[in-house]
Amino acid sequence: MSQTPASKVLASRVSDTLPERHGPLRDLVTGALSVLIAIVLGASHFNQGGRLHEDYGAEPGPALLPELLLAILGTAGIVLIIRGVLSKISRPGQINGIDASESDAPNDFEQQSEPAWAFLVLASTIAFGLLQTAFGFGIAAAILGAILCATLAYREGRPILRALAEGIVVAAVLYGAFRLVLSVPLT
Amino acid sequence: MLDVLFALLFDPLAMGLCLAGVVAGLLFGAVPGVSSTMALAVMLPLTYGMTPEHAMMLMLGVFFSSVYAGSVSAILLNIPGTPGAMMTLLDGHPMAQQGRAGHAMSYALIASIVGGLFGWVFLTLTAPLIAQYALKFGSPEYAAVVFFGLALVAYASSGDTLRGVVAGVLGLMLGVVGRDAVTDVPRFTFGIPNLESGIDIIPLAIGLFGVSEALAAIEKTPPKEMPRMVRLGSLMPSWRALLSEAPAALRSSSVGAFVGAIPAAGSAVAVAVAYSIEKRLSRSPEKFGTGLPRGVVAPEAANNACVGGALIPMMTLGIPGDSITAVLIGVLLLHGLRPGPGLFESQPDFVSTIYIALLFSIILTAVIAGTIGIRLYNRVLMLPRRILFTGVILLCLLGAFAVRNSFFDVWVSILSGGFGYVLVRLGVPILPLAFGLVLGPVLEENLRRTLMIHKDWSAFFERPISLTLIMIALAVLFGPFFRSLIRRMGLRRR
Repeated sequence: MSQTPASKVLASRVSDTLPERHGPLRDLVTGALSVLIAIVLGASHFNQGGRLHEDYGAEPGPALLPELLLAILGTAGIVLIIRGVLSKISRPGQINGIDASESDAPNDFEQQSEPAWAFLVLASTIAFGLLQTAFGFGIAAAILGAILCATLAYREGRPILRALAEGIVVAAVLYGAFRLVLSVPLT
Repeated sequence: MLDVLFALLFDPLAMGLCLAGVVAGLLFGAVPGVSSTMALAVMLPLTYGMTPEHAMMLMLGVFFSSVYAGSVSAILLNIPGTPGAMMTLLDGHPMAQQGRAGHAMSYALIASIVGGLFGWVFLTLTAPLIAQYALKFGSPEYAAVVFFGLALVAYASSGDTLRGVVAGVLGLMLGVVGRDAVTDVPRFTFGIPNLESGIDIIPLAIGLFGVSEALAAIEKTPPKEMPRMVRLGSLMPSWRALLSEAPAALRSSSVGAFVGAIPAAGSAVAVAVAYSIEKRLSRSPEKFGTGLPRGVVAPEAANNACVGGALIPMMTLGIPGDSITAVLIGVLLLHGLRPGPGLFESQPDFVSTIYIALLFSIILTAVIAGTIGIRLYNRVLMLPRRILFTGVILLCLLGAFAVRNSFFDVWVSILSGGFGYVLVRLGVPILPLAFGLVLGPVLEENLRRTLMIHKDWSAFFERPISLTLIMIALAVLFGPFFRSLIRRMGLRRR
């Protein structure tokens, strides 16, 4: 077996040497997100009344670290945006002088990814948060278990009805373990 | 230490928890997509009602055994169970294909135990010395140590350094949410009463390392075929063959223990270094990658020696060595213990408990994996993904609630899981975020104390230790930027 795939993945994990195919786009989105967070939190911080911005004498006060962090976050965000824009316009198709098609092309070590499924599972988990306030933990866990198991079974090409039952069983076992064995007051 | 050893040895609950932790770690670690960190995050809420000693017995059991178990799927399926097993598959899987899976797994287990014991000795010998030295640190040194640790994490995590900085700063900001400890002024609470006591590390760790890792695993297209049972062949290699690997195991263990002790360096670096050293020293390097036992022994010894090494910065400086020790710090904080040199002074028996818990975990891993684990692993790997990930996500949600019986914590886990997943998609490492949350209060306390005592920032640059740490941290943070600038200038000239 060739050693290339593992060392390639390893290199990408431990150093900055391997450029990413979507690096510029990721830089732009991450930079914009950082600046947005810095602006929103900054507005909340500087508009806060009370004793936050009082002079505490020798003590630097509770506003020091948040203000330092907001400044670093905003600056890092702007640098990321600039880097993303420069990479996009200076060398389309190339990242750091290397052909983008060679950068992180999938290898036999990595599986293809379909993020829509992960977002669907995340949405189900958020729905669980809402459902448990209406129906309680047990029923919400059973519904979530069934949905998760059925979703994953659909991707594996397995029977969905059976997966629904499996999901309910998994939820019931875990709910029972927490409620009865660990005495967690689940409603 | 002997009194602690006997106290734990004759405490059936402590030994039972260690055994349960080892079994859970052996199962979790072997399954592809479930990392050691995820295993610890899932088990973390169970420690809430336990004493700190019992909690450490359980968690270190999970920690050590899951690190070893990562080699199982690497050998049998050609998929590393944990990042530390990435090099093991290079020779482990070819051995399995040649009908020597049993031998490969035995080599991996024995090397793991040798590495684990080496790391344990390294931990018990060096940690007290470093803690003694660290006790002399003042607030400027502490603040510099935290800055240094965060810089290393931002650099060494997957993705790039600048995005690592963003994650670290976001983590530090999460750390300042709540009422300020000195002035009792609320910060970033947005009028939400639950945020006034701050964001708890445990639901956040469950979200970041449990929910988001599960989401990242779910997005991967499942294999079209179920993994097939692999013929193990005979289990035990000859004693002569085993002894011939001893020098490699010891060399790689020393690499693992040393690299593991560097904050954020992690097992992935250690296994790569150990593998390449052995390849370089070998008389027949071309045989590496074709099913050579040494190619299994070297990374596995290094990987497991990292466990002891990673505990050193956590115990002596309060800095997590990796994501797993970040979760372990969460366990200590949950029980009102702050890791750092003070722990050696105020809780020497607890420090001994950590040593003993790790030693028991190593021994129990050897016994359980050696007697039944290797034979059963083929069946464990048949566990359908749908059951596994449904179980993991439900465990995360139930566990987040169980810590404080609070639905707010469940929401923290869900939202941090979603946020962590979005960060992963953007190539932003999530480890610095957890580090930032853990280290934020320590950084703020020492930064403010330094400025109060010394009146200005010069104190950080007048003291040799803090100056050295800050200079290294700045070099680490800005090095990639200058390197890329030089590379670009070189390209332009060409």
